[in-house]
Amino acid sequence: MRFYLQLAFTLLVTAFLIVPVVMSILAGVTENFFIGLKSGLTLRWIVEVWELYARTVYFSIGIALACLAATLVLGVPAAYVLARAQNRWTRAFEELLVLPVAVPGLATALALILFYGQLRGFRASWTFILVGHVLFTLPFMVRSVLAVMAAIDLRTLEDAAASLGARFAQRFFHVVLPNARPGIIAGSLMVVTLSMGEFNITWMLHTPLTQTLPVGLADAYASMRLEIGSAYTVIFFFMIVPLLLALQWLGERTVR
Amino acid sequence: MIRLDSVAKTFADGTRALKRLDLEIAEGETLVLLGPSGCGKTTLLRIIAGLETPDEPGRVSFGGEDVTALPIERRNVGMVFQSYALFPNMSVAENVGYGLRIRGELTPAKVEELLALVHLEGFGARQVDQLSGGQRQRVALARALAVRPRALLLDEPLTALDAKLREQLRIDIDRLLRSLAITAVYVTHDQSEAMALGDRIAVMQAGEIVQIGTPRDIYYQPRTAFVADFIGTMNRLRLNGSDALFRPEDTRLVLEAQAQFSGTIASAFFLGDHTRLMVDCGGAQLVTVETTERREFAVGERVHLSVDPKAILTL
Repeated sequence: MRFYLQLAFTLLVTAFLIVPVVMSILAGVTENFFIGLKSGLTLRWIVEVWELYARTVYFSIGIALACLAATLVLGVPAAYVLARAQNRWTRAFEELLVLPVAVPGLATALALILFYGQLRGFRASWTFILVGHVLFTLPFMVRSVLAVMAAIDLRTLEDAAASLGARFAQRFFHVVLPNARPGIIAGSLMVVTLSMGEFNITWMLHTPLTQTLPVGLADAYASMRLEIGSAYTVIFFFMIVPLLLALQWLGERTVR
Repeated sequence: MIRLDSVAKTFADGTRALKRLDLEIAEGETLVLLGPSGCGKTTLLRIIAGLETPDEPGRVSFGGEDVTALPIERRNVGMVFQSYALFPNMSVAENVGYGLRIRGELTPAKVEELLALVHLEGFGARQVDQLSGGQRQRVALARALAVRPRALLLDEPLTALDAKLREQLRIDIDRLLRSLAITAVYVTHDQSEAMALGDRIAVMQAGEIVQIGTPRDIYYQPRTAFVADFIGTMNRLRLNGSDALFRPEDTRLVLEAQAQFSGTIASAFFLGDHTRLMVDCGGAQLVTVETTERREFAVGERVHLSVDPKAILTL
């Protein structure tokens, strides 16, 4: 009896979460959502979205990859320094690094616009969006890499490599990076996922020519018919769900 | 030969880890740095390794060459760590061959030879986490020896192992140090390891070498009370108006007529090959006596003791 009660409750909660998602997907492939499913299923909304917004999809992927490159180049060395030099300053820096996550994205974006808005070329270019995304995602890369680096005794491993004649660059590429790999992979997936889905900062920073997928999504919801907005959501799902699954799978592997 | 001249170390936060000292380690000699934690022994080892620089004007030289300014990667030393410090991303063979790879001298035959040296033939393809602690430390030894180092520096290599493995690996290390006649500096807080492995032992306390000598010197002629207490068990009792120090094994149970002093048994431990008695002789500390007599001893029993006068030290 108790088992069935629990089952019913679990199903209810799951349905509460899942049904809107299913409805949204259905809306994206239904001929006319107000008439309902009997109006027939179609892929024409998805095709239409692709024609209208393919640019935002490519732009988002491009921004996410550039953001990944930037967070790798900035974040991995930063995590290394934080892991090696544990003192008052590095701890303060670690705290500071989380600020962009804690501060509302709109505030971060406003600050960027106030400070760099006068630089016209920069303001209008895709790199302006990139800066916002890097600000927001960098802490996740640093934390993820730092957690792995802190778990291994990096200092002693490097001492050992040095005693065998390895110079700094050799130690870094032969010992530090390979052993930080789980953190780098987890951090990378996290950064790409967050960058793809980021809305708050991007919405403030974007221009009509630098629209990302989520910003396009908001545009579609506001100005297009419901089926197009929903079809757009379907496309977003297809891009983000594999990333989330990979993240989950990696998380499980690291725990074991 | 390794020479340290006026070497001292003060850390950035002002801690005085090592007071000024001079030290010479002969070619092929094994010197053990022995002392409690925080005595500066690891700092001294790290200065020899090149992981720390001594305060000015301290000098470190290897075989007459001043290496003070050389970082560790250019000193050609082999290091073995308490935590093994094997590279988790590399196989056993890759770990052992790493130093050779850096030098561009890596061949499979050399690696196999090194594995044979530490009795790990055929383990090359294994991952590090598939090895026991003792095997890991042997891989670390082979890795350190691979580059034919000018000195082998061992930092508490046996501390992380359980007692039985420790004994076995100690014998292996001893055999390697003797057969390769390599200059070695061995840091430990364990006096039995120090006695077994050291050609000489440097006993350290609060950043200073308080005594340096052969294990026999250190054991039989401790120069300070600290050394006496740190190496083995030392009894302390007022005899004929002066403080006398003597070892439990030099203390014998005798008849009352021959006794130098007497006491009552406070506790008795039968240990198989001998019985250890803690005897209250009226001093501040109980006197430890080791006897091979096969009879049973009762707490409260009165015993009469004598010590060979030659075995008595007064400090």
